[in-house]
Amino acid sequence: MASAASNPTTCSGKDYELPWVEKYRPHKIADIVGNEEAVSRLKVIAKDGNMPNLIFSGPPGTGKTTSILALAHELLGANFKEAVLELNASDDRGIDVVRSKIKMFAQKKVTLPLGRHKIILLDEADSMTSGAQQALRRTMEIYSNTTRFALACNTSAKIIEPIQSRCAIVRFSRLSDRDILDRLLKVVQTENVPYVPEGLEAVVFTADGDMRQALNNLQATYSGFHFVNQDNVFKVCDQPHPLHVINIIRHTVGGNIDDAYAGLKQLYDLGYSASDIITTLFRVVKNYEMPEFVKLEYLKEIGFAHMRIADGVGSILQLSGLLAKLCMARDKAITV
Amino acid sequence: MGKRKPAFVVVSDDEGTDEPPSSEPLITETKPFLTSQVGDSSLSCSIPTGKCGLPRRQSFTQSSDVQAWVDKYRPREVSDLAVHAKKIAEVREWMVNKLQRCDKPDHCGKVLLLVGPTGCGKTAVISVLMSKFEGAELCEWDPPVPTLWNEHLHHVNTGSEGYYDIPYVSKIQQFTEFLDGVTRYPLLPLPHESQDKGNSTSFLRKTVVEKQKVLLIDDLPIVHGRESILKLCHRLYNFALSVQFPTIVIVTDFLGNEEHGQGISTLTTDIVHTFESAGAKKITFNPITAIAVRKVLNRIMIAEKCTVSPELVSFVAESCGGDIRHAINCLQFLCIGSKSISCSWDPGGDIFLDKSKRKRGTGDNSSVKRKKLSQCKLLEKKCKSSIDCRDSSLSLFHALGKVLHNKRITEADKISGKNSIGFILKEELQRHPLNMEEPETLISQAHTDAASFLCFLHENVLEFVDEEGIEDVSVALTYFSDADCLLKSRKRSSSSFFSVHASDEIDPAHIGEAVAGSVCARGVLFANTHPSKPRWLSIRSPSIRQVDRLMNEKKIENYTKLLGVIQASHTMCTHVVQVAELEPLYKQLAYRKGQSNLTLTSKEIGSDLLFFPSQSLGIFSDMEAMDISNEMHVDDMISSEDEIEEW
Repeated sequence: MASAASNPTTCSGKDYELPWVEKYRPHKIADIVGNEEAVSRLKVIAKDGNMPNLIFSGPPGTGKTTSILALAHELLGANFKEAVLELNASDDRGIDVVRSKIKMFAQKKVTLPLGRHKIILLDEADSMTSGAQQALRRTMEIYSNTTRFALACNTSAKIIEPIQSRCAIVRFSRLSDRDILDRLLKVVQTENVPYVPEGLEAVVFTADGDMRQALNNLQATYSGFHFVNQDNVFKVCDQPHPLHVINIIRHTVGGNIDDAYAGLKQLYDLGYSASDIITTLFRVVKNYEMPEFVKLEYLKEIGFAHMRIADGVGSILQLSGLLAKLCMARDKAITV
Repeated sequence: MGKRKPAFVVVSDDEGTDEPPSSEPLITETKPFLTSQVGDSSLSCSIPTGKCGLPRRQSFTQSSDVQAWVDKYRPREVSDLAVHAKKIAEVREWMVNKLQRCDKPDHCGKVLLLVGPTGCGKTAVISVLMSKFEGAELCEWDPPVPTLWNEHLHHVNTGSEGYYDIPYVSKIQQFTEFLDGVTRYPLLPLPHESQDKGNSTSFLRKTVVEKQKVLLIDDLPIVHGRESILKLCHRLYNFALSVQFPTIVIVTDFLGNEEHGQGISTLTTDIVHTFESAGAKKITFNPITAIAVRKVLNRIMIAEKCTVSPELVSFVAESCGGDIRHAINCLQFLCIGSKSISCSWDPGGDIFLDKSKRKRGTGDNSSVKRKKLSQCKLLEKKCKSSIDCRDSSLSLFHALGKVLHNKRITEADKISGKNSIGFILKEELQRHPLNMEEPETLISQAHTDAASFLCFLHENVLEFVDEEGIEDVSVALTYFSDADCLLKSRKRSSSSFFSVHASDEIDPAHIGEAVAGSVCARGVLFANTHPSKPRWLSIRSPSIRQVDRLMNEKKIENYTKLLGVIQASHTMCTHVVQVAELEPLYKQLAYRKGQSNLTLTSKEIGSDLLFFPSQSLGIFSDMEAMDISNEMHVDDMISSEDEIEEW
């Protein structure tokens, strides 16, 4: 590592490490995982051309930008440089820029094969002001013969209606744990990362359906400890260890409040804040196997506790109160 | 001068896009000419105008296969339009009046105002109808390419000569200049054209020159802040009174979400009021009906020879919310998958293939019930649907259907919890295992926020519970209220005074929402022990949304009125006072005026009041405007109880 930093010119092979997120970003649509239906349509578009105006919306780390870029590459190939205008939130995208830069680009003449269009990629389009979006409206329509738009955003509701109306909306949802795990396994094999399966499981847990976060966490763990196991992952990500939390839940389900409290106290003493703990609690309970009624009550109580914590009452008293309520909910449910 | 000209040139040029590729060579021919002409005369704005000839001409060589369907199937005949015939007739009547009896000097109604939600065919109606009028031509206001602020600063700082050539002009100023130019020089660049022309196609041109101009303003500048809105309104008001030739103004009316919508919707209402008070004729377009949308979609499907099941088409038509453009876009995207059925290598294609087969299979026994069932199935099939229409998505309906229908595995034993937990639940709390994905997964696939999911469930849950299950409903409602409580806390904590974007930054808020979502979904699933018989039940969209929408509209309307009162009386009053005291006064006044049946509504008085001072006293000073906007801001923030206390 140190040598790589000292002379970056000889950055070849192992010395120079790209972020894995970039290194393993899929360049073909076929390599994109998850969201099969959306991706399958994109494949057809890449093959046939005539891309409609598209809005990609979905939570972060689900492959929106990746699929836009891959689509543009597959559609335009060697013409990518001159036929694609990419603007993201770091660029100036006020009304003036839309009226000048984007319009200029739309008017630019590029020789492209039949069925291919220039593409304007607007990443993080929800951060554009509504004025700028309004200004985009006419440009989109007038130049639709030669230029198509692809917008990426987290919530399509932040795109103004006239723009939504001019586009087809492609929804991306969180990736399944299976998809993320598969991809992690691939990366781990190519990078020769030593790991145990539980370690990868932990990475998947911390990522919560976000591929970017999963890869970042994996890389952070690897470069920090050179071994991916559960403890290292949670050290890097600094989340309460779910195993602890699972234990706490198990104790409450068993009606054993003393042990549950001991576990909680231990977590709290480790320095985790109440909102950290409650976040992990929620994620664990969501996937914990228990009777439907009990789960419902647990979720409800966690929700209320979270509400109080979000209001600023993040004391251990709240958390222990929560545990007591969980035990009571369980007592309410069982037969005498 | 130089600024104004290109604006009109672009316009006619823009008209060229709307023509079918096989349009007469006349329009294409003019382009190189226009380019050079503009290039001579003007400055920065001319560059794009010159360039835009190029892609257009290229488009004439393109086959129609590579066009977006929205362009490809743009209505060309009146019969193609999906807009209500009455509205079309209204617009046509206006055009006939203005265009064919133009010698009569009437100044009052030169402006036509088209208001409507996005995608309801406002522009389409205008362009189709105008193409039917021989002697008229449509011109459009096209905002010139602005100088970038950074460039401007750069030029100022470096002191280069370029600065004097391209000064920075604000949008509203550009627009005002344009309006000035239009009113001052009524005959647009046409005579100009005919003089310079001369060489190649002059004999063809002669006929065109006689055409009468109709000005179309679609891209009104967006302004923020009370002060500039009023400035713009004032300018538009004068314009509407003084304009010499027919003008059509299109105002897209949309109520956006919290952070984007407010400013624009007040702006829209202000502009509409302005024009109305200046005697413009206003025609409001409604969202296009689902039936009309479906008709158009079916026509396109036949033309494209693609095989999307009719159920899907009608679903798209119904869920697009009257936005035909979006419906067509959706359809195009849907067909992208279905066209590749033959090679069916993709899972999406398989689904479609499957569906069309089934359809054919059940086609013979055409009992309604079967059809409905297959419709149900279809919804289930769309389980991973990634495409959707604007507000209500297919996947949302699917997720709702799953939660409401409450399918469970009945054969298996009830979960007693013995195996994993070690205790036995009370009999009445035991449930069969769910026959579906985890509710959390369902919600995340529904692509919606917990709040609207809750609204939908609340609206529809009654239908899905059997007659005997009234207790179930009460249990479900308990959980709904809990979920609502959780959501409200999120709103209160995040949407404080100025942190509008806080809601998507705080991670805890996300958890709160997730909890609320799963509590409401699981609550219904748990509570509903008497699900009604499996049958086709339509899912309604929550009426609370409409109430909210109406309330917002009403609020905005009240604000404008209130503003008028403040200006007129120079006193401060809140909207409580307005509703409680001023509204009755208006009504009384209306009676006093002898106009029976309340023909003079409070609204009109309000708008009269709004413009009274600006006419008689001139525009009031900036300070006052600031005060008022502040005041309104405060009004926004303080809830009504506080106001009462204050008073």
